[in-house]
Amino acid sequence: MEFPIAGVVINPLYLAAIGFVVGVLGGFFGVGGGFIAGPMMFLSGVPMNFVVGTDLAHMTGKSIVAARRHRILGHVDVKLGVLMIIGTIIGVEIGAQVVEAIKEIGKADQIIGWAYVAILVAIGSFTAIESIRAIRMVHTQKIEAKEAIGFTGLTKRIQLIRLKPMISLPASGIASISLWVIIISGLISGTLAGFLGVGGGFIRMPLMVYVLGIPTHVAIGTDLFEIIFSAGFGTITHAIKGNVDIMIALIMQTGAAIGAQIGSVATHHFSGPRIRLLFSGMPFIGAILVIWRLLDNSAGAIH
Amino acid sequence: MNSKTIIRNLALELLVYGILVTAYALIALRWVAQPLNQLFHDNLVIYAFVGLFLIVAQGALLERITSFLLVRLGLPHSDTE
Repeated sequence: MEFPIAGVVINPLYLAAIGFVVGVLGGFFGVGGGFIAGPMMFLSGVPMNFVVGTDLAHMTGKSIVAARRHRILGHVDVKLGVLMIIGTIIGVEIGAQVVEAIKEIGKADQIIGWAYVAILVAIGSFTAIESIRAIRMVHTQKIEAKEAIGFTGLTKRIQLIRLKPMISLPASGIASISLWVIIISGLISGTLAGFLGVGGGFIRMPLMVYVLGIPTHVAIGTDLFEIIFSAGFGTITHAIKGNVDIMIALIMQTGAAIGAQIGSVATHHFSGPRIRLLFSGMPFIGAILVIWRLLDNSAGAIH
Repeated sequence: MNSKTIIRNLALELLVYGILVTAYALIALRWVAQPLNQLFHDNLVIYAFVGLFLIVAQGALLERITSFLLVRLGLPHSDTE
């Protein structure tokens, strides 16, 4: 089938299938899934500028479906999500400025690409080690599986910061936390997302769990809630630049909307540590795809 | 509510939702694709907002219609778990 805006011919079932896979992963892990959908779209012949913009468009719709489902399950902290958006938006701009500065130095693709790999491997490794430890704790110390955390030191130190104004997050079970800690967390994830040119769900979810002490299920739902706004904003800006094929996004969304519901409901049947253990594989998949692209580009440059 | 009932309710809901989402995409392909293509070449700002509206409508509106239909037809809804 022809998609004249992007100028490609793709089987719509292939697009719906990509959407379904990314939808399940997104609903389950609270990520946009751009690091998987992007390469798959690119492989099907979608030009790179359309890959980024169109992916954001379908991410918006998928996140609406998944976040609504998580809200029904009590997994969305709207107050936390809104506060983090403030930091994220500022951070994304800072990240984009850092990219511009690196571009002036040269070899931006290589620097950003390898930084991306390092961050993905660090997140994947930490989450894997922590979740395995948490699962062991559940068995040995007989603690409740739902919210066992392998490393709580950082969360405890962060929650000791009494920088006013202090706020409560009842939906996340946090009695008192500094507003600045939340905004700065959003700023950090936003900066990394802007720097790497990604949605940043895979950074925000672990950050909420390990730094702010948010329960895993709530972190997933809240992250999806935030993605609605960040991806929606990204869709508008990219579409105005002519980088979005809405028809491709709508077809992908057909599969993603169903997948997101399945993924969201599935979280209800897994404990926090098990979700994090499964999640830890995602950054490694992303890292492999980025390394492949970097090596491919290097080979292309040599030839 | 046991797992079997939850899965059955969800499957039923996804069936109704899946039909609506697919119908929406097919209608968009048949009736909206050409005007959207024209809009892309004529006015990117309007194209951007119309595009986002179509995506949001597919994501949010169809879910509401599904819930409405399930209630109207007296079918179980997975939200009621």
